[in-house]
Amino acid sequence: MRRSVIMLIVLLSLIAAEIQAADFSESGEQNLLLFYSNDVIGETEPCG
Amino acid sequence: MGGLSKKAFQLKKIQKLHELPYLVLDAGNLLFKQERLSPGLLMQAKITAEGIIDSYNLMGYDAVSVGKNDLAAGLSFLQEQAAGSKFTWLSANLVSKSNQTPLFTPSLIRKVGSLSVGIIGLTNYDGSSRFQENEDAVIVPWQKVLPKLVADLASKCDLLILLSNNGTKQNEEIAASFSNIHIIIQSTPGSRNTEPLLKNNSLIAQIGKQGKYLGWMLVNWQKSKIWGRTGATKELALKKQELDGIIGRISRMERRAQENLTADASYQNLIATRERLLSEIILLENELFDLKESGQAPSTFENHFIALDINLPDQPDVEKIVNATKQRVNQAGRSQAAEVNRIASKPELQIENLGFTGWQTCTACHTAQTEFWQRTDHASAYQSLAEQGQQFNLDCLPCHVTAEFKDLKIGDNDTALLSLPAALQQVGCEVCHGPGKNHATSQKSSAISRRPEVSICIRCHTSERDETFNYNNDIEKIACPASQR
Repeated sequence: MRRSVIMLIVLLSLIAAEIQAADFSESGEQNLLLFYSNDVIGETEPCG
Repeated sequence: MGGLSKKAFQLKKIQKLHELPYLVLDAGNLLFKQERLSPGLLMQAKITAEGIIDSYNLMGYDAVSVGKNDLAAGLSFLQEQAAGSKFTWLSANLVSKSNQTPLFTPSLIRKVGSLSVGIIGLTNYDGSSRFQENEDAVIVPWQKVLPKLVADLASKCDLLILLSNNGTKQNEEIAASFSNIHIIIQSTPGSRNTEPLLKNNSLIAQIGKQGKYLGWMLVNWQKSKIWGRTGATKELALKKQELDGIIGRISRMERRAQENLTADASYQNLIATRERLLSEIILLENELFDLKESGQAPSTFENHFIALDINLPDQPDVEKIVNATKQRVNQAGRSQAAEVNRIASKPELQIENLGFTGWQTCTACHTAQTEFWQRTDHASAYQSLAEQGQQFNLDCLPCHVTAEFKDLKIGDNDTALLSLPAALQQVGCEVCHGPGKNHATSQKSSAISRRPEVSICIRCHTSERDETFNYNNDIEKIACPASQR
């Protein structure tokens, strides 16, 4: 019984991983946000 | 650091608005202003660096590449900070001199929605060594590390991003060499907001220096892994916009028409344009549909810059870190001041040896002028700093006291600013007119400058600190009344 439960969990996690890994190749597109910054130091504000 | 809490607020706002998977990246030169710091500036600069990292941890940054300025407090300081950062410090080309192994994580892979995104960091290579003898480190050129790393990541990732501390020219060379690096975010000295530039198949992006802006892109990434080169998407948007305008003009003409418009040549022209645009739009839409069906649809992006204006709201948790950091910086400066006072017997640290005399000496002969000056903001510049609890902050002090930048900002003398006598704790007469000790003794006008050059004003009234500064207008506001002598 215990062995069957473990096997079921393993099987389900494999299916979940497969679903997650497969979706970009299936849908073929993904929207995402890319936030970027550079040379941040030196940020100024009124000192006083 | 003030922009950090505003940046944090905008990040959350945009993330909430779009509800899309996201990445937050920084291309380096995050912690220090220069490649090297004088010993006097080091303590306060390190505290500021720690505050920036704490803020970035809260903002959920994914990765930051190691910029050459980030090494200014030494390799071991950055390695300690990297160990405590919740984001990953990346550098593929900062390696051990003895065995060539990377000293920071070279690259990482993040799952963003359905995408596997590879991110690589590069530190600026200019051939010079910036490490101490006892530091087992060297920066190697990108040609030595990128070919293998890019090939490896390209086989595992859908999208590949390079965070590069190199200049534009080197990044364009990288873009020309690797069509599978899709985005390059660069940090270069003197950077300013630049619309992403497409070179080969890489978008090269950067924003203005000093954290005054947040850059973000809405990316539609397609299986083709190529950026739109035909411009079909943009062309389609423009044609739709043009069509909207034509339809509007046609409707207005029809509404105002008193008689049949069939004989009206301009109306007929508009109708013909509408038909032409409609058929062109259908063709473009078909072209894009076919590209998408065949897996060749180009990827697209919309780029945005958000100015982190002083009036924007702050994210409270980050603002708390910024304020606590500023307090720590000031406290450290206070301790340094005590130390400076202890060693103030050194001749090179005695302020009178720098040629200043203090504004009270000027009063004896220039009473009307000093009375006028006392009503200006220059006279209360140090006081306003003290009211903010920042009178020991070496970043702030140079613009709030009577001192010469060349003597006090650079080198070991910088900490002398912390123990100036009260007579020099304001932007006094000698900031504009030059050190007055000789003039006070000889009373020769040749020993003093009558009108400050613009170069003196813009040392403090920079575009970052004083966006509205205009030399010709503002000089009149502080011009002393004419002397009666």
